[in-house]
Amino acid sequence: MRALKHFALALILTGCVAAVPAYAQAGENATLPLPPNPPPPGAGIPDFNGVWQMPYTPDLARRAAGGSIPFTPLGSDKFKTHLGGDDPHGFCQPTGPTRAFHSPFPFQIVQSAGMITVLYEIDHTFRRIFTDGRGHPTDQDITWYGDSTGKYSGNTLDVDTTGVSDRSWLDTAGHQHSDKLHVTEKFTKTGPDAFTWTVTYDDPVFFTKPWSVTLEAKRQKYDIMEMICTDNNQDMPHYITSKKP
Amino acid sequence: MKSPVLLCATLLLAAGSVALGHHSFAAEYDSSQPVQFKGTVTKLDWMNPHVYFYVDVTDKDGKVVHWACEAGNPNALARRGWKKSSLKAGDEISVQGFRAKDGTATMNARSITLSDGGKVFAASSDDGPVN
Repeated sequence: MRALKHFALALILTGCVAAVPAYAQAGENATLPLPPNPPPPGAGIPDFNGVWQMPYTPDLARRAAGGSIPFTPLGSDKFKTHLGGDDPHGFCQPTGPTRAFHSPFPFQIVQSAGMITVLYEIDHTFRRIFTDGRGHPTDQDITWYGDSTGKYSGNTLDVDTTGVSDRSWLDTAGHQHSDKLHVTEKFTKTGPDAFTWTVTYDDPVFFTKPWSVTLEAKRQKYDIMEMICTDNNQDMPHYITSKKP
Repeated sequence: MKSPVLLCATLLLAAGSVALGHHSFAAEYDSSQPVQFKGTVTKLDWMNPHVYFYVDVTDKDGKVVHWACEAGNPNALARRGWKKSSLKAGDEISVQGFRAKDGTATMNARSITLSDGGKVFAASSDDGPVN
């Protein structure tokens, strides 16, 4: 109680009151209880089950190891000349396999024998990562989310993804890729309620060498919510875009 | 226990980053065209991917302009405590934000103030300009 009074006083003193709601509890559907987790995945396998969120990272370049993205001339030109209004997600097209992780929305991971399912709140979509030992398909189709396979090693899950359509963007800032993109992800459990996620993008068409970003995922207290992008996308007629509506 | 000041700083940061994720600010809005008006809320769309609210604004010639105002994502706003009842048709509000590049009466709302001075889901792209 005393702490609450101190907090209220701090809000008043710092002018914080005007910036936050007068009530503290979250609104509709934002505090629904977590769904039950499946049984732990077993000895020697890190448990990633649960609802998680990473920091919203609209511009991966700001978090790139080494401080910048090693563009090829074509990759650099594509980035410098892109129109923000061409963002496929602005038209509610899919995020691709990894952009959803660093969107402003949480996600649920469900581990089962031979497969991990990621339920992304953004766009109400899912992604599957096969851990049953299979490889990528031969004569692979190019798809929005590509094909993901995973392997456990200690407290880490390594994921390998290929076959990602060049129609997806890596982030909101407009970093793009070709369908030669090879994504590797390393999920490392750092505690019961946190894991680090290191993603590496390798694409000889767009980048001169692989580059990586590391973000920390934190366990969430509440369930994911419904987010249907096409529900009321009023923005589309107003984009400055090269795409025809 | 975090210090109160730290908590407040955290909340202030959160208030400034009700993120869109759906599209970049620059895809649609012009940071060189700040816009500010007072008017009456006519409708609220508490829907994904963004909350939209509509405001009737009477200009100096007596003509009513119907503004469409984009706010943050409803899920993100709900997690910060806002509800669709936080802003209602008939509310008299002041809005600050940035106009759409296409010149229509469309804007990205950065600050919404009720007639009693209360702020309502100040929200926008966090990759847009800070004000």
